[in-house]
Amino acid sequence: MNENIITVENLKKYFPIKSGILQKTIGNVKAVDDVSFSIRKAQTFGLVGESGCGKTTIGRTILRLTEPTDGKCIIDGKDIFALKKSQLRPLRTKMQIVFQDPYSSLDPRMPVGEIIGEAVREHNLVSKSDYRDYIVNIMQSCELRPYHIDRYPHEFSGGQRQRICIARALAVNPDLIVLDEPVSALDVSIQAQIINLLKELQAKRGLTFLFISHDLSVVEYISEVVAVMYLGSIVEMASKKELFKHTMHPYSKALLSAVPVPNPDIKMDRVILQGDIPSPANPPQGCKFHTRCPDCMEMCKTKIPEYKDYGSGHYCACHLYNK
Amino acid sequence: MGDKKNNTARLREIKRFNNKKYREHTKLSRRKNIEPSQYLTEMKSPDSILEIENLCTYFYTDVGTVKAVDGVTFNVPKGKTVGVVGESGCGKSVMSLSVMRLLQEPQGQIASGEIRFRQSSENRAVNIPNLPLKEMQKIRGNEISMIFQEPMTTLNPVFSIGAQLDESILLHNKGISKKDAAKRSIEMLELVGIARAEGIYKGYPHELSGGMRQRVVIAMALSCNPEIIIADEPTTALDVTIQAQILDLLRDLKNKINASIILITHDLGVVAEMADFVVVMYAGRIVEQGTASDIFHNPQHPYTVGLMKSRPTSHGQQEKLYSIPGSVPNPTDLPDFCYFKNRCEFCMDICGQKYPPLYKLSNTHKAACYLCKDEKSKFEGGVFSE
Repeated sequence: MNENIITVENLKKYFPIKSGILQKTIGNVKAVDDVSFSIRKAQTFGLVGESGCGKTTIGRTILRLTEPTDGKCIIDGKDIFALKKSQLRPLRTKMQIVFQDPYSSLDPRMPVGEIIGEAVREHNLVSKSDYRDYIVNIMQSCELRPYHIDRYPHEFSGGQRQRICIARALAVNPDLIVLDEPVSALDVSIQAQIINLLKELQAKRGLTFLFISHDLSVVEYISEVVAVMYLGSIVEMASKKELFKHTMHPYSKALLSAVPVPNPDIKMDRVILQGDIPSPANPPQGCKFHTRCPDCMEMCKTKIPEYKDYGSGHYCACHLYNK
Repeated sequence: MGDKKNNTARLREIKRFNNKKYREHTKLSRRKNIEPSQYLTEMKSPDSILEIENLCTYFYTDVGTVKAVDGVTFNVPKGKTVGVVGESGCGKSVMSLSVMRLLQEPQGQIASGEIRFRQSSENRAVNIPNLPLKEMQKIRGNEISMIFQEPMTTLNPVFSIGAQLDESILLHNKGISKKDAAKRSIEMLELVGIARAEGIYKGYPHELSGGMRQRVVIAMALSCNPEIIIADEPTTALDVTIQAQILDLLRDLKNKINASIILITHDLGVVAEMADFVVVMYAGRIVEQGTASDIFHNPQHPYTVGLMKSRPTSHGQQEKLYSIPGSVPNPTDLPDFCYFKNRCEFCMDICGQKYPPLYKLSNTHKAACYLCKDEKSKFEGGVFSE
């Protein structure tokens, strides 16, 4: 059971900045800059970070929804970045994505059954006679009612729409599902329903999740391994327990302490970060975090810290532990 | 066919009713020479600055009347923060828009109720729903100001930040020169922690990040020294680290200018950090209200308890998250009994009868649930001691 379902090596994704009449490239936005990680089968890998740190780009690039600049992504022993479009096609059923906003990710002109079944028919997964039963089955496993099959997305609430999105992803029997902020647009009570559904589906079908979110409490709840991103790189990665107990990187510490606790008596000593996240088009020299870091040293401003293992799979990139 | 006919007749009925309501409203709002006696009032409690009593705000839509706010009563004491919590569609934003008289009229109207505001500049108390527009404009943005949810859309992209800040200062301070207004704007930008305020003063909104824009919006809200700040989800669109900055700033500023804050949010964590008093709303009504420690340590309404339990917490590992089954009832067709009945796990026979009144549990704590009728705590010690 310890096999890796996906291995990402040195993934880079640069978006060129074009300017002038000739649209010459004058620079790059380094959305994802040298990221490596792997996810084991039936595990949930949590990816946390602020908006603009490149977490969504990772999710989209490893599915090749956007083309990578450099790196490798190995699924099922094949480097999917090296495959041709036609070779990629059968692999598409192995990996699916659920988007953040259930209001804009469903076609308003398609009935629910069609939305869920489109890919099933495209890949010829079930015979024509079983088709409707199959879709109803998938819908029921996502706690949708069979009579919803002929309705249109506008007739559903946000939580139900997100269930439709999950059903659509499940319909092709994938191994890996990228969940790109699946609960951020939902209310608290609906959030809990969706998270429970995801956990249940994972236990039943042995799914692997890449869970992208900015909400640490949700990530802590659902994931086994957590990676913290800042400006296109992973700054810390460890198992959930390890990361939340022995937080190493100052950025992860600040992120953790910024989460409001629903208890009026706890007055936390907050690490409040100054300033904003710098522009990824022009990241700071040395350690990218040094402009906002409360423990910034001289060497942080010039030297890029090494991203290495500090024992038991706890990776971190910070000079503080490297003296 | 019969069904369709009935439906058309019903829709026509609604249309007729709505038109009547619109006409009434237009007539009311076009009145001239309103006597002060019609809007002057007395405050019921000496410490409060704003008292909302039995506020009902209805929207007359084509599919029926939506009771967005239906009988909400609470006080805002001077210098305190009141947190209003609830899920989307529970009427918390409409409540705040009613206070500012910014509803989309005539579809949305304050149907009944009083909003009493102590206008200390004129040394009087006024009833906001009855105020003539001229008087309301003196209060809006000046004595009561609002911070909206989306800093991306609140600012006008074609005017410089400075022009937008100056506008409210020039409007509300008669006889102030443009130079002085600019000076005050820059002061305000410095107050909310913007470095190089003069550069930002000349800049445009698109040059700023979300957190900086929200600071500008806060500066704008504070520029006339308001007595009440209504913050409608001020941090929802922001990242956690920026949220921490903004909350810290709001807390700091509240102490500096001694204003009251009405904080509207769906995030229980934010409320716990900021609020002295908490109001929990569900489907347009208050289901529970009390001090922050009442609500967080001793929640009584099953909805409040459900909300708290459904949040994944960092303390302890739950196997399965608690989730409230079902979803919010349809706002055009609310039942006579408790709106939470169909989602409630403590539902009793009595719940199918009348909507429960707010039962008083202590001097500060009230809950609208029949479970609280005999004053016995059903959730002893609150959710966090489990």
